[in-house]
Amino acid sequence: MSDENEAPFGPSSAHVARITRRRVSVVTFVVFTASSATLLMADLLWGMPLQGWNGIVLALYAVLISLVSFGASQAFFGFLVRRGRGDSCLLTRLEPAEETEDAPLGPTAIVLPIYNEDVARVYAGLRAIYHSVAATGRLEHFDFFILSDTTDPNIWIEEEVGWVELNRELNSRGRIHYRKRRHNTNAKAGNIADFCRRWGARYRYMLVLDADSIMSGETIVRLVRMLERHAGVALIQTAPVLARGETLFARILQFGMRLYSPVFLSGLNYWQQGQGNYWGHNAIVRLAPFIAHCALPELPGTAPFGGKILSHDFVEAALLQRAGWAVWMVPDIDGSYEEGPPTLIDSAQRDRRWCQGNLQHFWLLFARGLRGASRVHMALGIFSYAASLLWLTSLVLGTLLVIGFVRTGLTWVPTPGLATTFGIAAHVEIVVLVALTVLLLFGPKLLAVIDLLRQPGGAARFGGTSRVLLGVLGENLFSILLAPILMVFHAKFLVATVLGVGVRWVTQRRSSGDGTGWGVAFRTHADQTILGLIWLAAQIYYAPGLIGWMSPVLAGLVFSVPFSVLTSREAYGRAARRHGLFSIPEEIAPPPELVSVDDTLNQSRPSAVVLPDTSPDRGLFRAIFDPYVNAVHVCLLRERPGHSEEIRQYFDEVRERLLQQGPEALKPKEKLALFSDAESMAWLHAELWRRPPASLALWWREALRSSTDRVRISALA
Amino acid sequence: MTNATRLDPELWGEAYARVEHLLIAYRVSNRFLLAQLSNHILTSAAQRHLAEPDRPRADLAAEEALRLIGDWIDALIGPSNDSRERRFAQGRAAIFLADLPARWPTSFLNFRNPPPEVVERLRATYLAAGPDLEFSNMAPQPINLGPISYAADGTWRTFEKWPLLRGLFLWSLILVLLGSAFYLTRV
Repeated sequence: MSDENEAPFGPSSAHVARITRRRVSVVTFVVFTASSATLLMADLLWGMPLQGWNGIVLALYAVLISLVSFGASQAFFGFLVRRGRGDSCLLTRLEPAEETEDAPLGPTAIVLPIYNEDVARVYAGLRAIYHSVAATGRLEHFDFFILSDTTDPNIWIEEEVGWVELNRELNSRGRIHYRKRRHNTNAKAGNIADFCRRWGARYRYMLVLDADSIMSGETIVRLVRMLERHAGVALIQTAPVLARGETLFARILQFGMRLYSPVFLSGLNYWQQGQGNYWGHNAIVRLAPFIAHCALPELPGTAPFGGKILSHDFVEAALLQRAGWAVWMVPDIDGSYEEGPPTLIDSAQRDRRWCQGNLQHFWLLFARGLRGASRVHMALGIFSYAASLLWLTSLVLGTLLVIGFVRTGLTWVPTPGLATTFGIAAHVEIVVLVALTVLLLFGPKLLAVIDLLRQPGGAARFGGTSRVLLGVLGENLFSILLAPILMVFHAKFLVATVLGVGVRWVTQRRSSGDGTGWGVAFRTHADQTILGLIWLAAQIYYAPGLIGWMSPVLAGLVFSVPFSVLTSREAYGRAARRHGLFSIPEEIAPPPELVSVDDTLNQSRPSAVVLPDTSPDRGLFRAIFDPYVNAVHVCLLRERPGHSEEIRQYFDEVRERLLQQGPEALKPKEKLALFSDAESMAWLHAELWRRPPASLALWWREALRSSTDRVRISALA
Repeated sequence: MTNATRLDPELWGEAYARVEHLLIAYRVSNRFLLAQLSNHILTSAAQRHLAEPDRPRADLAAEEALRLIGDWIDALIGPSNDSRERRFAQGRAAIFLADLPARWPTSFLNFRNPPPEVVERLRATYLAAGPDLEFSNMAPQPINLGPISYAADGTWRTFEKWPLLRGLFLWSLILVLLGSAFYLTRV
C-alpha cells in the first residue's frame, strides 16, 4: 500500500515525506516558470541604454511573476489532483463509517460574533442554521451563542428583541443565548476570547460563524465528527461559497469564486495539508488547545503596525500549529456559505481593514517556533497587498522608461544574447514572454473551466455551457477593469498604513441598498480617475504607441467612477440573473438553508411598538417605553452590587435630564452609560409611565403620542 | 367608583387613557379584557383618590396599574432572592417569552387560578446572558519574535523616543533615493 493510501494524518515519516514531495513539486513549478519568464525579461533588457532602471524593472518583474506563478501552481496541481479518483489526502477521506453516525457528538458551541449588523439578516441566517441542525436530529449536542459587540443602541435593542422572538418561535430557550459585551476590547478576537473564558470549558468544540455565514446542519455535524475522529486536528476550515449577491458586482464576484475556487482550493490543500490557515469563520475549532494557545499577545509598537492584532485568524492557526496541532482546510465539503461585499467601495473598505491586519503580520514572520507553512501564509497575506504597490511602481517605471527614450532621443535596440544564440528574433522573444505571462495569469481560470466542463453535469449546474463561457468572458472583462482600481486602492492603503494612518474597525455593509451614488463614487475614485487621465495624457504626448499595451490599466482607472456605480446596481444584477448570466449552482438549485434565509427576510415585518425607523433615538425610546423590551434589556444587563455616591448622583442627574429635556440633551456617551445600567433603565421605564406627560420633554410627549397610535392600531387591529 | 370620584369625567377620562395605553403596551388586545382590566385599575385608583384627593387621578391610575402588574408578577413567580425591580423585569421578560397576552389572554392580571402551565413556564424562565459560567484561563503568552523583529522594534522605539533621529533617518533616506535616481538615470 502506498503511503498516500494509509492514514495520512499522523506524524509518521511517510506523512512528512509526502508533504515534502508535494511542496517540492510546487516550488519546482514556481522556480521553473518564474525564472524562465525572468530570464526572458533579463535577456530583453540587456543592453538597454538607460542603465540602472532595467535592474529595478527586472527585480520588480521577478517578484511579481513569482507571485503570479505561485497562484498558477495551485490551480495547476489542484487541476491535476482532481483528475481520476481525486486527492487521496483530504481530511474527508477518513470520515467515520456509517455505523458510527449515531455516536454521541462532543458538546459544541456555535458562536456568532456580531457588530452593528443588519439584525434581520443575522437572525434569518441563524434561524436557517438552527432548523438545519435540528433536521439532523443532533440538536442536543449544540448550543448557539450570539456574541454582540454592537455599539449602536438602536441595533442593540433590535438584537435583544430579535433574540427573544427567535427563542419564542423556535422554542429554543436555553439553546440560543445572547451576550452583549460592555467593552469591545480587542474587537472580534477579543469577543471570541471572552466567550472562551466564560463558557469555553463547557464545550469541546466551537464552530465560528460570521454575521453573514450560513451553514447546513449536515456539514456542521460532519465537521464535529471529523474532529472526534482526528484527535490531532485542532481546526477545520471550510471553504465558504459566496452566495445571495444581488448587485452586478457581488454576482460576478461570486460567479468567479464559485467557478474557479475548486481547483485553487484543491491546489492549496495539495501543499498545505495539515498546516493550513484559518479564515476566521465557517470553521470549527477544538476548544482546549484554542484556549491554551490562542490568546493573542500585543505586537511591539503602536497602531497601525503594532498593538492589538487585527487579523487574528492567521495568527491563531500559526499558534495552534506551533503547539503541534494540525489545521486542515476541507475544499470538498459543501453546505458552507457567506456573502460578499455588494459594491466595489464596500469591498475596498474591507480590504483596507485586511491590509492593515496583514501588514501587522510582518512582526510574526520571523517569530521563533512558527512552522514554515505559517510563515508562507503570512508572507502571502502581506504580498497580496504589497504586490499592488510593486505593480504600480513597475508600470510607472515602464512608462517613465519610454518617456525617457522619447526625451533623450535614444532608441532601444534589444540585444538579447540568449535569443540570438538560439536564432530567435527579439520581437519573437517579446511575444513568448507576453504569452507566458498571459498564460500564468489566465491559465488557471482556463483550467478551472476545463475542470468544470469535464464533470458530468458540471456546466448544467451553472446554467449550461454557453452561459458558463459567456460568464467567464464577462468575468474576465470585469477582472481586467477591476485589477488596476484595486491596485491603486491597495497601494494607497499600504502607504497609509506605513505612514501611521490607522484604520477604524468599521462595520461591513452586506447589502447594497440603492447602490453607490455618483457623488460618493466621485469622491472615492477621484485619485484613480485623475491618475488615469494624467497617465493617458502623458502617453498620448510622449508615447502613443504604448497606449494599446496600457489600455486595460488606463481604462480601469479612467472609468473607475462609472464602473463602481454601475456594478453596484441591483437592477443590473437582477437583469443578469434573468438572462442566466453569472449564475451559480446555489442560485439555480438553492439549498434549503439559503431558501430559508430568503423566505424569512421576505416575510419579516417591522415590530409594532416602535418609533419610525428614521428616528435616531428609537432604540432608547423602545427600551424605556415598552414593558417587555425594557424587561429583556434589564435582565440581560449585569446587576451591579451598588453604585458609589458619586456614580449614583451622576446617573440621577442624567436620567432626570433625559426625561425633562429629551435625548438631544444627552451626549452619546451618556446615553450609552444609561443603556448599560440596569437600575437606570428599570427606573426610567417606571418613571415614564408614572409621570404626568406634561412634566416630560416635548420629545417624549410626541414619541408617546406617536407610539400610542401605532400600538393601538397594532394591538386592536 | 364612588360618588366623590365620579364628578370629573374629563380627568377620569385622562386616567382611563393612561391605563389603556399601558395595557396595550403590555399587548392586551382584546377589547373586552381591556375595558375590564382598565375598570378594575381605575376602581383601585378611585379608592386611593379618596385618601389622596390632591394628586392627579391619571398619576394615581398609572401607579395603581404598575403596582397591580408588579403584585401579579410577584404572585405568579413566587419568592426569589432578586430585588423587586429585578423580579419585575424577570417577570415581564418571562411573560414576553411565553407570549402570554396572545396565548393566554384571560390570564393576564388574573390573580385567581392561573393555568398551571402558565405558572410553570413563567417560573422556569430566568432570562440571563448565557448559561452558567465555567471560567477558563486564556492568558496571552509572549511570542519570541526573533532577532529581525526585535531589531525593528528597537529601531522603532528609538525613533519614537528621539524624533530628531527619525527626521535624520528620513532625510538621509530621501537623499539616498534621489542620489540613486540621479545615478541610475545616467546613460
